[in-house]
Amino acid sequence: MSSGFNLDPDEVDKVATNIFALSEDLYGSMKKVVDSADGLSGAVDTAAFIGVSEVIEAVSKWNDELVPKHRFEIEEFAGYLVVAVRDTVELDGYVSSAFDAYAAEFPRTEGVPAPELPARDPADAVPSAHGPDIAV
Amino acid sequence: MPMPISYQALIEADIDALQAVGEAWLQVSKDLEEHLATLDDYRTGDLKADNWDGDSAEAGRTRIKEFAADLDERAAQARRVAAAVEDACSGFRTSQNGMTMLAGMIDKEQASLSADGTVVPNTAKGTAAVDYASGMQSQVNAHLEDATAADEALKAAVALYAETLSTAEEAVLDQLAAEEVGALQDLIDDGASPEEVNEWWNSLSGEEQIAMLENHPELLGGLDGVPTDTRDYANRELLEAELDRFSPTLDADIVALQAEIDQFNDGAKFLNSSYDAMTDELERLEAERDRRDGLNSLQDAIREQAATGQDFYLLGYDSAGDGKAIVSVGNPDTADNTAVYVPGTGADLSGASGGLLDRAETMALDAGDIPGSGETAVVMWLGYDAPDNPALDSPRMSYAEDASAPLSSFMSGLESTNADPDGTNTTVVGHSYGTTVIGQSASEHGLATDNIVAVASPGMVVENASELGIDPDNFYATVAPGDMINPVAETGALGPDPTDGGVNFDIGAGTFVDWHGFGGNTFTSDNMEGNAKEIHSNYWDEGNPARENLALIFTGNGDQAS
Repeated sequence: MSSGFNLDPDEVDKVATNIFALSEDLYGSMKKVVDSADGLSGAVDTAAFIGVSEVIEAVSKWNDELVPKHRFEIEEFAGYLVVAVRDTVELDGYVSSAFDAYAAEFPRTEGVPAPELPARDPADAVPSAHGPDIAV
Repeated sequence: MPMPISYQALIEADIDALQAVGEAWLQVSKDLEEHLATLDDYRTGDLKADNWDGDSAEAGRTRIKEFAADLDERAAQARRVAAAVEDACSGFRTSQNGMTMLAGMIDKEQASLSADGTVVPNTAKGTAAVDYASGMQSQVNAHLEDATAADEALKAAVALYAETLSTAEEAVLDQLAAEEVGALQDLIDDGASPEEVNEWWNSLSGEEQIAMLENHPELLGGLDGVPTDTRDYANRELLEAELDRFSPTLDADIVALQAEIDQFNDGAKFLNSSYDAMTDELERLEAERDRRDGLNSLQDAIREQAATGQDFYLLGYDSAGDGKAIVSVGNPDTADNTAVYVPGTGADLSGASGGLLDRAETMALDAGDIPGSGETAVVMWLGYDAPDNPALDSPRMSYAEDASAPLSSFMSGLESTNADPDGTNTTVVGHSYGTTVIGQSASEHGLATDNIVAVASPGMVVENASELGIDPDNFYATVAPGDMINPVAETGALGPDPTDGGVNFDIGAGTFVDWHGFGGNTFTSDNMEGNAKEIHSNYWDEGNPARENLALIFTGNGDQAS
């Protein structure tokens, strides 16, 4: 299997950084929903307004489950780019050990947590052009 | 059964707080749209195959596409949640304001309004006061019921769109849908008009509408008279479900079968009885693959926002045969202007997600350039089986005849779902055989439109613009010099040339006829220095004056088209 970047590694790094930034933006925009919904319980009687209560539940589900999942996918891919550009050899799919080795280099803004998710199915790891990944 | 909202809860509710949450949801949607556009830019730019090659690179690009698709779905969900919250806020405010007005109106001599919303009669005033209080109580209760209905609709919509639907809630929606589906089926079976369908839809509570959408997208997706955003949701669900039904091994199966077939030498082909069966099967699988690819392209095409910043709306699709699709750039229910573009010969599902949709997008962009024109939604209406072959099929009327009723119904549906039908400038614009469809439909069933435009028409069936059911002053036609359609239009086979460009040949009489004029207006288009065939398709090319003229007509400035 052959693979490689014809881009300057700094350019790839820039792309990876920008993709990480997307994840952080996602966190930021969801946080605005959470913040605005925080005041909702005091502003509306949620026992009476079942629809408003559903809105609060939705905010919670998106903030706790759905958005972190998307952020995880985005960051996993950005991390893969960081790893791939540092390893001159082709990676046969995403290798978590390599990912971890470079984790400190992933750009992070203070105050924006990394998405935390339970361990997932190895088959879902990226990118895997030829069947299951080596390790997760 | 949930308790109705109490008087106190309604009066004290801070709707602005809920509004702020809705606005934050909308912002999430916009941010997501922006992110997925950025991701797509990386996939096709910095991380394209020229810059990053190999198998893993390909897998990486595929992965970007996958999670961009997920984000797109999430963006649509967030937008729908925001819209549901906005609707609810509007309903709550109406009830709150109504209640406040009512409180101010109560004749203190007759009755008083207690803190829990009970209207207490002044018994000293006798039975008249009791009757008065009873009447006022009914009005209080009506406001509370309205607020409760808005709240239930909000709950159902958020549960569906934000994926918080519990099993119990789903059961409630199932039950509601089961109670309503019979009425809808009867309407469909009876051939109800789009207006009747719209009336039925509006008679449902918000919760019932969500229940129908969740349980019967197959009945709502293509049904004229159902609002655009509802049809869009239904059709996207149906499209996703249809794509999921294709075998995941389809491509591999084709490769494997082809390899088996390749094993046969020429002699064995005739001797082995399974050869024919295998080639038939291969043909079937390849057709299946083409259908899947066409649907995938459609899904991709409407995934992000249009270049105008408007959303795409999928108003109908059909993967059978050449395929059909109705896609709108912008929401025609709320836009200031709506143009419905009917393509002509050769239009199919792949065009619907490619060049034909590009034209609709271009027309929406051009309309946006007209100062003070507001928003223009442009619908690409391929709701008919267009002729495939210009020489063999296009001279036939059968395609237009089959399309006639569906186009008329679609236009009536748009009129019935429009928030302000009298204030919206509507145009139906056809290209080539699409103009024949329009002529047939307008003269046979009528089209709910203000303007009709014919671009490069081979004939519109009717002999004069006055037969199109609109003021002839609102009819516009154009054809570029050198367009291959000119000699076709001259034959009069599909009706006289609507640009009135010359003497027509009456096939029936076998003679040239002195034409008295089609009526309406003509406007300029350029041949862009193409050959006859190219000229027929380049009306939407950059620099063609036809584009600005179309934009002027769409936005109610047809008098400036030249």
